[in-house]
Amino acid sequence: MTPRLQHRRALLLIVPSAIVFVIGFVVPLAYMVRYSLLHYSPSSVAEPPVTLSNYLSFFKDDYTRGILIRTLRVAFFTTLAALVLGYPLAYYLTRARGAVKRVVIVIVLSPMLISSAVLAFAWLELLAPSTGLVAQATSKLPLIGSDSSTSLLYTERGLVLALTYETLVFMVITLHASLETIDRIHLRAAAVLGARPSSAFVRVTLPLSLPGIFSGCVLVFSIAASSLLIPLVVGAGRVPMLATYAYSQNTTTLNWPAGATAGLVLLVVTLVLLFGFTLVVSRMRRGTRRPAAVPQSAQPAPEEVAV
Amino acid sequence: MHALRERLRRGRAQEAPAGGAAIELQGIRKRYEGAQVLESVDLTVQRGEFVCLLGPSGCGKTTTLNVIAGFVEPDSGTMLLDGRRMDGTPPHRRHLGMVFQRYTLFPHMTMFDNVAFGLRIRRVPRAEIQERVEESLALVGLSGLGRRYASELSGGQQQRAALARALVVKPSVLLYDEPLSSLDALLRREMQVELRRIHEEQGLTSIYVTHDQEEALVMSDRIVVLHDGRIEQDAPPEAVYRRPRTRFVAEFLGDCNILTAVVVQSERGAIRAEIAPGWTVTVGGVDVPPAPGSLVTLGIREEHVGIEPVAAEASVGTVRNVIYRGSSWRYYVGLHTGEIRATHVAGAAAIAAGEAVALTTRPEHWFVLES
Amino acid sequence: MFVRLTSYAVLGFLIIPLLVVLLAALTTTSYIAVPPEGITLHWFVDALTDEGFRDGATVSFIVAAITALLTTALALSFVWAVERYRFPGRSVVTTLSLAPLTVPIIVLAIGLLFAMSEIGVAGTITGLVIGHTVISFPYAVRAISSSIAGLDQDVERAASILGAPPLRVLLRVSLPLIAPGLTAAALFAFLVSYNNVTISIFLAGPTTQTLPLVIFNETYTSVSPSLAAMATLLVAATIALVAALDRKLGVYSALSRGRAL
Repeated sequence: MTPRLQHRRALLLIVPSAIVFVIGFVVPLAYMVRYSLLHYSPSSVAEPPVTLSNYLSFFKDDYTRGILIRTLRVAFFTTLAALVLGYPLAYYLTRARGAVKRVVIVIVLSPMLISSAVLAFAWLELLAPSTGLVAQATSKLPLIGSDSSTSLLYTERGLVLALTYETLVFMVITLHASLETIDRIHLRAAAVLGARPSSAFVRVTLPLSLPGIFSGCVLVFSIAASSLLIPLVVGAGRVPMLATYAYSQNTTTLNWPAGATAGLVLLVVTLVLLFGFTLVVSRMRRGTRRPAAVPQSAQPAPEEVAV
Repeated sequence: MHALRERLRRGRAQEAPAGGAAIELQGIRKRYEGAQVLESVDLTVQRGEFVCLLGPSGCGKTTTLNVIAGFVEPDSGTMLLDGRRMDGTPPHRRHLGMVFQRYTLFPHMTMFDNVAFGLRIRRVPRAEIQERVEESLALVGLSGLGRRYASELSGGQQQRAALARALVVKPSVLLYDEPLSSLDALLRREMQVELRRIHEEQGLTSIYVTHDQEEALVMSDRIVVLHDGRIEQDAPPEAVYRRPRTRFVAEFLGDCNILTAVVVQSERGAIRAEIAPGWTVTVGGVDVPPAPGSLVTLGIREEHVGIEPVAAEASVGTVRNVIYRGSSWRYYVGLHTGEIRATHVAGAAAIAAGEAVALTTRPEHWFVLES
Repeated sequence: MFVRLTSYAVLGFLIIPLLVVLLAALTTTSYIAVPPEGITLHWFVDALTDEGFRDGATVSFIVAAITALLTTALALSFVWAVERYRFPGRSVVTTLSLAPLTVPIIVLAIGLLFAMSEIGVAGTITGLVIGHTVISFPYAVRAISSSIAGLDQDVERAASILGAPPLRVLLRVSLPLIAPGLTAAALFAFLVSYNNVTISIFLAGPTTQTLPLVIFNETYTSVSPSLAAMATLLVAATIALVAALDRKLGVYSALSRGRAL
């Protein structure tokens, strides 16, 4: 087939996807940029002149700046919790075999497969004051128990708990992919050289899984920072996050410029994180010359770290 | 249109004239991303012939086959199939058969449906399909396995079925792309004999690509040795084996000594050349004898070099190393300059390393290599 | 030992919320009680006969079915071009096809609200389908890529040398052989669309409330065992689909490289 014919056929096959991509992806993002630069007007939603004032007031206003900081804080603690809980589970998964492994995988994947509407509802029930399972359980504990009115619902801690649940699966999957690629031969070599299992873990497994830890953290951080349903239900109006703020601006207040601005701030935070991560990992790979132990495919390429 | 389909249906092989060129390649050139893969290949395959395209990987043999099949469009040159130009004719209108290196049975169809595929496309009546498929499966020794899927067959059986699928449409030429290379050695030998038998029984025209010189020697009427996109030699197996034309062919076929010698005497049809001090040999069958004093590259097969222990004064060299090879001994004999290998049938006691030896050769076993 | 105990604890953490939903649907009380007081299935009957639930399920099904077909068709033709043809910009379009994964869904959802309002399809099935197609496309591309890359072109050549014209090779050989990838892509797109809330919450109108939205709205307004039953039914339907997906491809490998819902 001649190159020209190849080009023409390829173009023909790509055009339909390109049209949907433009309508459903490029144009929406362009509109976001456009609205974020327009002036809010209660009568017509948005109008010229083009201005950066939305961004300026976003960062100047204590309320919105507080939302940004809270979003980062909640995402950070969620990431930390997911890493601490997820690493042992991912490690266990590399050792598990057969039916046990299948069951574990199903349980781990469940939050990913189930609609976040259901998850949000589940956490509302779990954290509900006095009737919620968490409140029931803590009331029986001697130290914190007595005061069952201190519910985790509508608090940052409750939000972190629910978000950890929602994002844990991504941490476990990423870490597991990374741990699976570590050749057992390295551990055997360490054992032959006299390392106890614990020091083999600290000196071999842990360093080799560092790129996996990084990409798992980036993934969880950006999902936690941009989750909508859980903060909407568990945090309600009392713990506003960037996503819920943007949602209410766009649907309730109909202040599209403010909503677009908040959305773009969230996008920038995510992208900065992604590219920073890519830099760190590529430097880490170059610095330690470890590509043989951690093949490229084990790590999601930057564009594959899904949010 | 209808006439064409009718002709395709009955198969062209039967009505094509016996003898005559089935395939002619004229000046085929092909370039891929800057690399010249084929440099002007000219090749004629007569009807009924079994021709092997032999060469190392990257020599252009598979590209040549793909040009014939129509999968690769040459940059220049013409291909004729039964005297008709094939420029721009897509593979599905060429009426060829092909057996591939990898197992290419359609995994979602039974053996029967695989073999019937070509017939169904040619709209052969049902009853005839039934009959021809069974006939074809029987020919390759797979009777009764028509309901199996490829995954239920061994590698050898899969390649037999692939052959049946190609044969059943009575293609004008059958192309093979290293079909036996993924089988084990024993099965490969068995299949070589079988493919040759089927070729003869069915009166096929076959073009067979391989990198295995033994396979080429066993199966073909003619061997075409390819190297860097060029034909190095195009001759019957015995000629390629006994009188390789170039150094590349001699080396590729293996077990050949290649030596440089000075011509000391030159006459019609024969020369005398000195290989090492004290060892001069007669070379027969030289068409264009080089002038005395010039350098020539000579070749001789290892099994054609005779050695015998002699007193040190009469010797031309010393055995440096002896290797046992099952059916034979191989000797590495050090000359005053260079080394020569000799292979002898094992049986008599081996000559030990370190012994002085004389070498005997016959003029007709030597050949002059083109430089 | 430490690893195993921690893992069991974490698995418990993962399972409890789902158990709560199921248990909440079983109680005989008219309010949610976990653990349930008595066991009944009548909340499921309630849910199934609820008009809002049925309308939501219908809207979700229509949107998900169209999304699945559209996404699979688009991804198939896209991947075919990328895998089978050489053309300038090939690597650029491959990277771009995964771009929707790098943008938080909430951000995309806001943009979609603006854009769909502008072209007048906000609140319609069309708008929902466009949004859901954009986010499921990268997954469909992955599922189909691996099966097209795994398709030995010599098998197609074998068919064409046997006389099959290109269209016939495509229909009789290539497509049947990549069918598992296509099915996986379609099921996956269906799943993404059926369960999505973040996009739907911005794009759905009064007549196009999807099932997850119905559940979400009731979470706000009237929490009841009937709602828990709806949620359980949605989970059960998802699990049934996932089981089907798993047979085709192995869910873990399908999901292990990104975010689904």
